[in-house]
Amino acid sequence: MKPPALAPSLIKVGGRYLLTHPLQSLLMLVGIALGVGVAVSVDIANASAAQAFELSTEAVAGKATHYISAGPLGLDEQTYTTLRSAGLELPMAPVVSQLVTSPQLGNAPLQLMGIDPFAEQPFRSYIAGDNEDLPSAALGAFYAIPGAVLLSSEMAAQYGLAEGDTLELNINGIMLPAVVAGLLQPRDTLSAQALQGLILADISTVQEFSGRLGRLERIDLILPSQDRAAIIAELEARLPEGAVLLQSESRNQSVEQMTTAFRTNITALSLLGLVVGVFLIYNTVTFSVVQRRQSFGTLRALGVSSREIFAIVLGEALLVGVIGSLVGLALGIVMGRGSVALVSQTINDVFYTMTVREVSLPTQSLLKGALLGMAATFVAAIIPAWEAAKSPPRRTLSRSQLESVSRRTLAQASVAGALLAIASALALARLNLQLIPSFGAMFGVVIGAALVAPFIMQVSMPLLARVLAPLIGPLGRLAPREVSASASRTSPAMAALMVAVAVTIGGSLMVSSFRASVVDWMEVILRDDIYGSVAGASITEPQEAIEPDALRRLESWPGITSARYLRNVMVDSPHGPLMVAANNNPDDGEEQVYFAAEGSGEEVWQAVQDGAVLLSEPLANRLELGLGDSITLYTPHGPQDFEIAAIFSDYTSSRGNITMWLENYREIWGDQSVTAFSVEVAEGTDVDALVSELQGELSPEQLLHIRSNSTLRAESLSVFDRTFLISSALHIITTNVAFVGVLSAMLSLQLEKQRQMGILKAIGLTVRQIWSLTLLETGLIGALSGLLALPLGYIIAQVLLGLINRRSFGWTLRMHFETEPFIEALLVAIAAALLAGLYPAWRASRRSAADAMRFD
Amino acid sequence: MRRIAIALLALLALAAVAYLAFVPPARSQTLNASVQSTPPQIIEGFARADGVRAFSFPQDFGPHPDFQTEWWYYTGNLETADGRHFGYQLTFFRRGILPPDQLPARSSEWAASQLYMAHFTVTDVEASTFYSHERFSRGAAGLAGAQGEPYAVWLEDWRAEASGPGTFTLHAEAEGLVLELSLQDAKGPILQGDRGYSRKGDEPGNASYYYSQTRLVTEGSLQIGDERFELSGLSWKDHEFSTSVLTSEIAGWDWFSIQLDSGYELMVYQLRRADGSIAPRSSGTLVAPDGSTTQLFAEDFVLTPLSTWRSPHSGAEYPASWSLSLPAHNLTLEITPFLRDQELNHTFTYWEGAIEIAGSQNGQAVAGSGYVELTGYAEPFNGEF
Repeated sequence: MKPPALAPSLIKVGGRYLLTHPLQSLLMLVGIALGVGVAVSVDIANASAAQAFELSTEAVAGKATHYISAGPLGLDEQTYTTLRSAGLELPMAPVVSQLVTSPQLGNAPLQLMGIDPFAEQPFRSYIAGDNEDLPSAALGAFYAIPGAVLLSSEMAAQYGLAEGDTLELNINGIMLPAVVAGLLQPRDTLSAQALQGLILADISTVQEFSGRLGRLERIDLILPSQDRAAIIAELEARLPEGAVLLQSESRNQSVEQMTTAFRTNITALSLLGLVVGVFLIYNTVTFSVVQRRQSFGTLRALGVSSREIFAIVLGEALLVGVIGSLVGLALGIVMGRGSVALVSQTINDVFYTMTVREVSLPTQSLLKGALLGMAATFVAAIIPAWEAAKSPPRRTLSRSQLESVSRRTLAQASVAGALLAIASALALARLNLQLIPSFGAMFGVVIGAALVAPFIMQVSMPLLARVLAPLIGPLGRLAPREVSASASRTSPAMAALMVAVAVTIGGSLMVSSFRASVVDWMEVILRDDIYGSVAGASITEPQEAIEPDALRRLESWPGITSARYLRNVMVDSPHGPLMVAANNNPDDGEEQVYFAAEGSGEEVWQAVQDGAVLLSEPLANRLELGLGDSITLYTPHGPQDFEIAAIFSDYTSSRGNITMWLENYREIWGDQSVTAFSVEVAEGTDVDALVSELQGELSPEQLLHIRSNSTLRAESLSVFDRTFLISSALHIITTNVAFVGVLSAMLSLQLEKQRQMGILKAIGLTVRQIWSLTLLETGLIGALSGLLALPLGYIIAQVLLGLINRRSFGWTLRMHFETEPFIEALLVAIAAALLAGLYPAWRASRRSAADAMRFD
Repeated sequence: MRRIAIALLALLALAAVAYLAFVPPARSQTLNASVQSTPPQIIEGFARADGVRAFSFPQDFGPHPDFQTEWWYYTGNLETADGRHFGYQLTFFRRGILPPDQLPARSSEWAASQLYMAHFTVTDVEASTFYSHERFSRGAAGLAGAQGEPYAVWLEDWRAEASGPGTFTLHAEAEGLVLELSLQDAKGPILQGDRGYSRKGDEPGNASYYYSQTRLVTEGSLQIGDERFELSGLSWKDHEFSTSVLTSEIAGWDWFSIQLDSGYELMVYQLRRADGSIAPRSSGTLVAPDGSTTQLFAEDFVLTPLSTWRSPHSGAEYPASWSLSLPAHNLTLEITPFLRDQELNHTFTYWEGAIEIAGSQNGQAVAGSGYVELTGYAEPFNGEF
């Protein structure tokens, strides 16, 4: 390739450039660091959320392959004794669990696991360890003393609890006393993390706490993979009526799928940040090449091969890439702390109550981030490096030559971009793409548009010059021409800004449309005046039963004209556990927004009263069921098919639910529990006064969460807003990356045009005019980027709403067009561009004409 | 991922509890070192064995929850029609968590005041194979328990129960082993020690209540994998309850149950001190064919180990054959294990195995079989180094 002796000096050439141009190096570094930082922080958040989710579910499910369940009322505890004594020799463990909170344990939801220690060994790995310190008295107490619980020593230390201390547990809204019988020493960090969210107690204790005497929630099993079918048949033959043997993995699969979709969404958003970063790197590297066209020519004349020139440029970029990636990793870790909280909060709000919160830093995320940063740098630097390598020996590549080369490239890129954008748009519109391909196609549209944008700029600038010249004089003609004449620098900046702004528009339009859909929907479904449920540990869709006494009192409460009840409960099905919402609201048929239904709301509801069910849209989408199909649920009398009378819109959870008539549910499942109520009040009643009256007096024992219609709406919307906090944060970061991009482009331009500025100054341009010219140029770039971002943003919003959301969450959302995001985005683009022009303008205005001209 | 779960903690803690209760005292010194925070303790409130009590059957076949610990020990030597020899052990241990009058009121059926442990072993002499299994459970929710009338003691599907007057059935299965036996008591319960009051030391209360069924004529079947054997022979049952630990000077014990073809049975045990000397409370009982008993004291018998065997599992060295003589009864016996390796390595390590007997009684040759239990020989893992 080359004599090895030359290598060190060539490396110096590259390194020297970076050192003598600290500002450029810094900008490139910032671009990479921000891009990597965003990607890493989101990846950390995702990985942490996934791990926390896994730990939360693993802590509960352990190594079980199957479990026996018997619906909402649980399994007769004798089933376990019978199976244990049947000589099956299978690992089996009884479980009764309960979400609880405790004021002494930070009030966060915790899983209270009721277990039989003698049966646990093969199942759950979270305790393990050297528990020699656990005195035998603790174990004795574990079985014999009411309310005895075990905590991890870490949890105890965190909350200042010691063995023998008492604490209160909120179980179904009722505060019950428990006593710390012993502390567990987790053996490794993983066990420690799983234990964070767990309180352990004996089966007997949890049965007594939760009032489920005589019942087990489930029996976990580990079935060997050999002869599994025969073993299953043998087990099933011994099960009582209504009990079913199910696969453990089905229990969390649907939740896992949905959280994965959610995480894919924010990963895609974070990658858009990196795309913007790529433009930035390209921009900076190109500039460095342009600036050194002379020295490259000289080097070539000295016998340096084009390969070596290529290596110098790429090496420089990669060097900055490495440093930038490292800075990005540090940035990502810092930002990751915030994102972890946001992502976990959303998963808790929308999908699943995770009891595990803190997990270790996923090293994989860091590795991925570093690789991503390097790859982005490589991709961005390869074209300029190649261009530099083409420098002919000794002949100075003139600026005009370069621009004409660039213009050719521009035309080619535009054609390619247009094709890419059109093909991607067609794929989105015509093909029924899955989630990740949908994102791929969306990226295709965005990148395609970014490639076409510079061409549009080239075409529009001369036109603008004609429009502006009469309005603001010679500067109006000069500025657009300057912009288009330096297309090699301005176009990547413009593309970056456009992408960032479009993503912001798309994101906020999606969120506002989503919000509007939810508001409209709540308008229809929330018609009662007061709503109540148990203030327990569940965050979404509480399943804790309200004390029957409270309901009796409610019915005869002065000022209340009617009360309706809802039972939310998980019911087993061949699709895994599904949420059933059984209510006795006779008008519910009309208080739904139907996605698909035959007949009027009244007719649909009549069918439901006759035994049919309604499916929420996300559930229907997930199970691929439609109108006229039926759905199988496991009932105490065996599997039963329910006809689907309609599909309704529902934004409560993306897990989805099945709505049925309360009387039917009670008859089939023999469960009289009520988990929520809603009431109508007599006209003229002061609702807020009644709410506080009910809150104070309805149920002295059980903590209830009673809210007026308006409070409930406000709370729902605040959960909604919290859910999208992370998306907004990502949009802001992306815009910041774009801002840095514009800044760097402007700076490069101005640095290069110093001589020209000198000439302009020499021929009499005032400082003010210099300022105007510079800001006009950047303003034009910003305005054009902003304008081009408008349609692109709209397309992104459409894709997010129509495709991505449906794929991810099963919701159909209508575009709710608002001008605000568009105007905002346009202003942001212009403001960012103007801001980016300030420093270059200041620099240009300070230099004396002679100084500037001498520089060249 | 590592699999040790909560049960391990439970087992460890239970080990600490159980060694106090279930395992003869020898190892308590050494085990104490590894589970330091668990000092030997007796929960106040349990009854003590501190004098002769009246036994009444069948109620006394059942549990005595006023006492903290109790065990039911079935051992036996059985043969197929063509003489293939098997030994078995099926043992249930009970441990009270709290004295009955201190138990809090509980509404769950799972709330437990008793914990159970059981051991099941089979010695296949011809195949030179010793199988052993251990189980734990709570004495609640029907998972494990004991009752007097009708008599039954069980842990899941391991079960001993009365099937009629003087007849019993045993059932146990684990990993391909299925033992199904019916037992006919030829002599009725034999009270050990002084009318069932068996003193282990000089302190008051350092004793147990102890009776045996020394000649249980046994028929039944044993399945090992796909092979099934029809068996007959003799079984022996010990039932003992107490609330005490042996004095700390005791390092272990050697216990013998011997069934002779002359119609006699013999139970002797000797308590060993740490220095290897024999404690004075060692004793035994000679049961005549008519069921009459003669109480034996340390000076009435001479037990001499003849050889030793080192366990490849625990490294412990056990005596491996003995001569036993009762000079006053003209009885001299040579005792040889059917299999050298009959060591149980579970929560506790001890040797409990089938033995073959040959010797002379009143000048006549006698033969027989029985079981030996050897405790306190296994070294603790953390040793004395």
